[in-house]
Amino acid sequence: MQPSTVTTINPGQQNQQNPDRTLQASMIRGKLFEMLVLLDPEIGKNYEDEESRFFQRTHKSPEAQEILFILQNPQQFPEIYGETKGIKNPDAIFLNLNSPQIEILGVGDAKLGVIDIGDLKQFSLFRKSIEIIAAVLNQYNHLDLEAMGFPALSARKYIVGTDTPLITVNTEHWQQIVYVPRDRQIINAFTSSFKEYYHSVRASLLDKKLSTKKGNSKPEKILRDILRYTRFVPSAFTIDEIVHLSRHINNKIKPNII
Amino acid sequence: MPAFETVNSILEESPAAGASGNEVRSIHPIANENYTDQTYELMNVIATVPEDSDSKIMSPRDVNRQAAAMAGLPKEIASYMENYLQLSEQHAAFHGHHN
Repeated sequence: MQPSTVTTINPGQQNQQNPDRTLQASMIRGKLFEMLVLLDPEIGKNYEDEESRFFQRTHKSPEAQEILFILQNPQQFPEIYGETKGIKNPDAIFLNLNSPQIEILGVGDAKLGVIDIGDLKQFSLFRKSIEIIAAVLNQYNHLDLEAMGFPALSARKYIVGTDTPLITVNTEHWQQIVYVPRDRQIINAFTSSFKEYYHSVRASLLDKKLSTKKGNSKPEKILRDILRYTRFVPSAFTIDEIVHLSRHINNKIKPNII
Repeated sequence: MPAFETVNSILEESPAAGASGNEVRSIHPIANENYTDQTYELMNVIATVPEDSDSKIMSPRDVNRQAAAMAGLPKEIASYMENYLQLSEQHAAFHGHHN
């Protein structure tokens, strides 16, 4: 994920007076929030339906971890790096593993700060990125996948056979879950109208610089489009709690590592 | 359980407020065998954050949920973060930006 920021930080312009405003502090906050979201026992339970419970079971599966590893570290795989330049990597990936084929249902991400242009671009490109990585991985047989260090994908490819694609993407019912701090004022998407939901997300999450009175700026249009397949869900932690935890950790490590 | 008010007040008003590790574990009302010294240490940090200062918060603090998440963090979270920052720095040096 992008290094989440509670305040805007410019590399090389660190504020020595306030240790919370350094790039290092910002990166620790973002990473810690991401880790705590992924470790949250409630992740995936925010949807009160069968599908959500399914999400919860699959996002920690070896198959999900292997695909996620490729997405997050494409430069480590010379075989595929050229084809995956510019892809956006989420923090979690949700799969349907009911058959030997792997169906990718959606992705999850943690977002501590407000949504800026970069985040909007990221959220709107997750599906395309997943489609690219699926197409790339479908080129390989089980021996290739084994050699690349993906035993879970390799085992499934062996069962699926060479003529059937290993990975499919559910583009029709694509879903994204973005976990945000508990103190963001996001209303429940399932008990409110789309308009109400959009306004709550815009007011509490969208960078104020991107909002207009008429609500017709390009970022606002992108946000409305993203909301058709993305849910913003409160995590277990508030911004203040993450700031305090990060400060505590930052105090224990060397200053100015970055 | 209306857990947090209880835990928070206990931690703030008892010796546990300034303690960590085994000292906290021995008196902590939500003790769990999966929780490490670090888990209790981090819970203590959260206990110092006033919850009622921000009326925007829409759901109450769930200390059990928070503790369960924190218990899954790497054992030495400070060392882990130090490595993470060093790797990020190497990555940024290679690619010319922080990603």
